[in-house]
Amino acid sequence: MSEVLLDIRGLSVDYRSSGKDIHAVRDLSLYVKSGETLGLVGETGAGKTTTALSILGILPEVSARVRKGEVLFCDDDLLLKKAKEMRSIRGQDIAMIFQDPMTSLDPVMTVGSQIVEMIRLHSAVSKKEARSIAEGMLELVGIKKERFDDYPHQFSGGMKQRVGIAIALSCNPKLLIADEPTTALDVTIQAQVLELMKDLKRKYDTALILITHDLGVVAEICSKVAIMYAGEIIEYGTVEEVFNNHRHPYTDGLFNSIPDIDSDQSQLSVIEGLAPDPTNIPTGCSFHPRCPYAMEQCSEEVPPVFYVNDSHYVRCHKCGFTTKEAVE
Amino acid sequence: MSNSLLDVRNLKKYFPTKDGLLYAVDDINFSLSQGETLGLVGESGCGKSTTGRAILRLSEPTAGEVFYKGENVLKCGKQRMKELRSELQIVFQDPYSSLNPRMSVCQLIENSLAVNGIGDSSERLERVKEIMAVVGLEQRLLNSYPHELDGGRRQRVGIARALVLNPSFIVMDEPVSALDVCIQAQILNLLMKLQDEKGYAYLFISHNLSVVKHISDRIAVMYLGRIVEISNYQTLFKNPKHPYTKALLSAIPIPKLGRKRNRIVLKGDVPSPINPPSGCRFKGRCPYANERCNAEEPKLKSCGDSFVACHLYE
Repeated sequence: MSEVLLDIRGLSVDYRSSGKDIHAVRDLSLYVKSGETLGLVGETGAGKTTTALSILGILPEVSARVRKGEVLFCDDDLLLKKAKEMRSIRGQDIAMIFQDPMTSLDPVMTVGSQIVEMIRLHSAVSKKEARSIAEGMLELVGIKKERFDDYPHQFSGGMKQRVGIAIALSCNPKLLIADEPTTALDVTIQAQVLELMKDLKRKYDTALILITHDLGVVAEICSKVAIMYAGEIIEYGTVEEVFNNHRHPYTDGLFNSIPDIDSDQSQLSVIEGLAPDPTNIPTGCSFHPRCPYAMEQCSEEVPPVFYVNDSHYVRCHKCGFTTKEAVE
Repeated sequence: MSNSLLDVRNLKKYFPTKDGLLYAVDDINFSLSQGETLGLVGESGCGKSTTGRAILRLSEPTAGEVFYKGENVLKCGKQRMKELRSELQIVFQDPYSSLNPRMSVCQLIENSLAVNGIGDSSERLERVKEIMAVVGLEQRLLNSYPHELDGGRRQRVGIARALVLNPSFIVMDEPVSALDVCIQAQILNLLMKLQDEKGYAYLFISHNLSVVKHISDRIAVMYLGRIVEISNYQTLFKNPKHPYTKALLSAIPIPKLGRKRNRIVLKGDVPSPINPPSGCRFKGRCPYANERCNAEEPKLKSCGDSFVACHLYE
């Protein structure tokens, strides 16, 4: 139960654009145990999607470069795999659900054949068998199997996302990466899809990395959370720890900028300023220009990882009261 | 009735399609006083934006009346309408596509003034600088182009452009939906501060209920072209009446742990607004639907502190 499925160590990814290096992901480490749900939270440009794409090995070839790091999946470094090997892992062991169900399905293929394609790619079954598995998958995500031969345009947004989930789960992957799976959906449809994902997770015990900017969705479905800022994980811990006992000023600011539904506020507290330009990340702590608690040290030294407890860490000088050794 | 700044009565907007009429906005009524914010919520396609646009005659309403300071806007001639437009403004959802990429910030804002023939060019420049300070845009951005600005600043340009004419009523069509939460908080604070200072009335359209609750005085919930419930924001959240409002509220993901609640997961999707169901439009997804809902369309009626269109409350 507690075996580590995915272990990312010191991953750094750059994009090259008009002669400048954009540091999209910087020295990122995280792990996911089997059956666990990790929420990856951050604003636009924090490096969430880049992290997901590097796990799957589908970064844009021309512009992106993995500078260093390892992505260990079942103790195998995915970054060293050949293209062909990756192709069999993708879909089979690690599958992805994309953000926009309107564009991630092929408009000229029936939804059924898109599921069948996935199944036949990874297992040697006959067309007939694949069809019956695919029909089963459709029923599982709450779509009648009679709609197997319909095209994506005949489905609503929520139904398309269900098809996306059916495709991703059809090979029973060990790890599922969902990139903003409900962002494009209305709240009542989002609720349906979240309930479905929770259900299926319970049934299949798949590990899930959920990329989102919505802390509400995280509270609903995740067991661990990683908060990203300017390509780094600045806080990581169990949902309980991060929601009730967060230590990083950015995490705090993020929670405070969401209007509270249970009380009346005359004003929202805001984080001043903007996320840093990824071509020109501030020295020291990347958050220090916006941080209300910034000290001199913050602009000079990159804060190391401080452990609040075994499963909760923060990258912030202010929180540097304890190290993992001290806890142990 | 006559104290209100804006009075919308029986507003309808139908679009002809090849499959029949699309009932985008079907007979809605509300009023708005000076300095008040009315939140308009609902799912995609329920007619929120169409309502906003129909009030400003950006798409001509099919029927109905819109009284602004006692004057029926829909009956105004071209000339009068042009004058009124400076008092009735709109801020659009997507700051990436609502600004002309070939105009600088200065031109974008000044254009509003120039079109209305206000001041000479040096006066206009003064006004532009003033309004930029009001919405928190740095003066150095005067000659920048939209692609050089981030989303939050672009939305500030959109707001500046609406405010520079000194309007009294502004339609806010999802002004923060395209923005990250931190920037969203900055813009919401700005909008509320401006309202306190200048007494603007906002029609705040959004699908994000926590944002709407934060900014609105009253909230109207729309479903398939109709208002199904309208009440004070506190009443709506504490004591929602319409089954759709209840489901909508229970579906909001709340960033808190251990908050127990009964989620009402609605079945199915919103039906098509082309030939919508007869009787109550929500009946197909409503857990309490009965015979009467099939036969008779409920009217918006007063019920306690709120107005609800549902047979359960009669």
